[in-house]
Amino acid sequence: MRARSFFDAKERKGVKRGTQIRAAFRWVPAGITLRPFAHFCVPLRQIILLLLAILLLSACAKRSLEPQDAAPPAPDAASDEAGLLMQMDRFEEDLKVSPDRLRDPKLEAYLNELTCRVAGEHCPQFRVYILRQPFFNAAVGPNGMLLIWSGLLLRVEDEAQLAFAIAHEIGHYQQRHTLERWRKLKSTSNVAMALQVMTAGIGVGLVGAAAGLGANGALFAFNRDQERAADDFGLDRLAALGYDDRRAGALWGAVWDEERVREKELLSSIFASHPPSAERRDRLSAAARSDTGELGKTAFEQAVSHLRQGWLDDEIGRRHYAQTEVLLTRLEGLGFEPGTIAYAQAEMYRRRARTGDLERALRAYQRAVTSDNAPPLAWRGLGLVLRQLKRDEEAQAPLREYLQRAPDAEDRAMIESWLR
Amino acid sequence: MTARAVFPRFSSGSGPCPDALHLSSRASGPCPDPHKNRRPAALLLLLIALLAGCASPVIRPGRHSIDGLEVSTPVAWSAQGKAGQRLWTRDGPLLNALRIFTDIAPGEPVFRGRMRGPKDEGTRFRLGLGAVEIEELIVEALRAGGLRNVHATDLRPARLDGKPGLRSEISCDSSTGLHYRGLLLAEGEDGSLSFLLYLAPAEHYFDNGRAAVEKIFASAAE
Repeated sequence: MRARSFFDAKERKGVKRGTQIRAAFRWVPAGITLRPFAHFCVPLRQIILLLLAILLLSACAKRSLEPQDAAPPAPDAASDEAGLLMQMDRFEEDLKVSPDRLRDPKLEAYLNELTCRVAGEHCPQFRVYILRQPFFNAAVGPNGMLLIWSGLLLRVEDEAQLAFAIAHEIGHYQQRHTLERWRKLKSTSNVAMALQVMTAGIGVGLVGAAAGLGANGALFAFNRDQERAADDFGLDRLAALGYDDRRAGALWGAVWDEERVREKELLSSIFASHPPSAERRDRLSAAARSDTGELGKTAFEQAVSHLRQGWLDDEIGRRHYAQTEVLLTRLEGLGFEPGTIAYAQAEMYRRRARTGDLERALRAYQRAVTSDNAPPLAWRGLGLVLRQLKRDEEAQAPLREYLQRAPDAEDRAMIESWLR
Repeated sequence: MTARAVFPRFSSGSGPCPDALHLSSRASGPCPDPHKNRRPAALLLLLIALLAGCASPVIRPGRHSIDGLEVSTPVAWSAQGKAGQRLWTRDGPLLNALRIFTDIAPGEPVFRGRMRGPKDEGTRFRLGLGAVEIEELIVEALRAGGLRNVHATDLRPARLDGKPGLRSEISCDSSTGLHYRGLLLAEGEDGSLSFLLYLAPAEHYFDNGRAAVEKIFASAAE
């Protein structure tokens, strides 16, 4: 007896489906040829049944939650909302001592003040935490903890864009999207996931705040309608505060440029949630109403410039160089600290080290060391690249300069051994 | 929490354990138990014997050749891993871990772990790297492995297996915030990368094991 193959099964299925199709189109007069893709067609009766089912299901859909009050009362202790808040409070306690938390009094004060302005009457409900993670993300918990990733701060160009990102999150909070999402996760087939989300915050499940938030990420993966509602809230707040609301679309355009070049197989998205799209960029750009407005460039720059080099180092450490290259080209065009950006470009090329990259790194280091704000490490990098290019004699001068500019260099003993 | 939480890419090896197989054959030897109700107890004993057979081998004080690298240890260690990627520990990998990686070829990941695919560009050894770049590469690989705030300090010339290399000190935090310190000895002079990396919690364990590790590093120099 011949073994039944996969193709046998397919053939049998095909015969059966063909019979059904012929039965479905019995009413077609003889002589009329069915369309070549007719086997994809669904009989009318099934379409009507499907539509009826959709109508019935939509009737079952729950109404959206009431918006969050400015001073919300504590939820009933027996409610699922109280349970969710308790878990978020525990998460926040872990977050406070997480090694991922970036503590910088200057930036924290700036973000607290800006969040308060954006939140308006909701101001007392928010607590801002900065996470040193090179991803473009922010999130707000239903308990009012607002998380801002350093990767977002690296990518926004001014206060207007940052205010929009914060306002977008406050929009999620104000419209209680997390609770809605939580209830949806708990329903039917998502019970297991909801349980996982809950237990992720407990004990061994929580491996660092950022990882924990990754596990809790399902809570912050809002649907398209919720994202649009949060975007609308953000645009309204920008307009109300006198910011240029065209900056929101510009921000999403810039991050979409990075997303387009990502390697899909590396899972290299810079977005922990809030996936970007051209549609979202276009919608935000079209929805902008102002012709002018505040940008807040100076205030933003004063708050973040001293941290940018570290964030760029984290970004390069992500090892998704195609995206980093797009980002650095944009930052270079904006004129942010030319020495810092040129140094970051050089470091990226030196570490990537594809054909021609060492020469690109060399040129970028040379640009960096001739600018005003180059870090001492730029001279070290220049020396390292020259050594890799077998130009040891030329490497001596920049390495000496590095040691002079960085008296406490951690690698002094090694560099000095090369200079002897 | 397992060792993978700190070093998620480290592989402790796989496959049947010869000792366990040996014990297995002995445990099921020619002495059948006629009483059926004793069968669960016999199975339990067999399981215990199998597990005992899988226990980590002990590295006793003295001189050892580890994948071609001659080292001498003043204290005993439990050992895991396989050729080219050894892990020695005294109290458990989270409390003190000496990793010995040898002969990592150009293009190979530093911790010989799984990369995100052929397009993953980072933390691979390549020819022509100097001491600064090797230290940088190992630091980056530790970050990629999930450690936070990884820094290297006091980079200086050293020798490993008779070749010029580097020594430096490492500090980092685990993902849960426990602070670690470490010692690194590495060389990439002969066309491949070899290194010894000791990591232990800064509180008590690092200093407690430091003297022994320094002696191992000294013995590995030539």
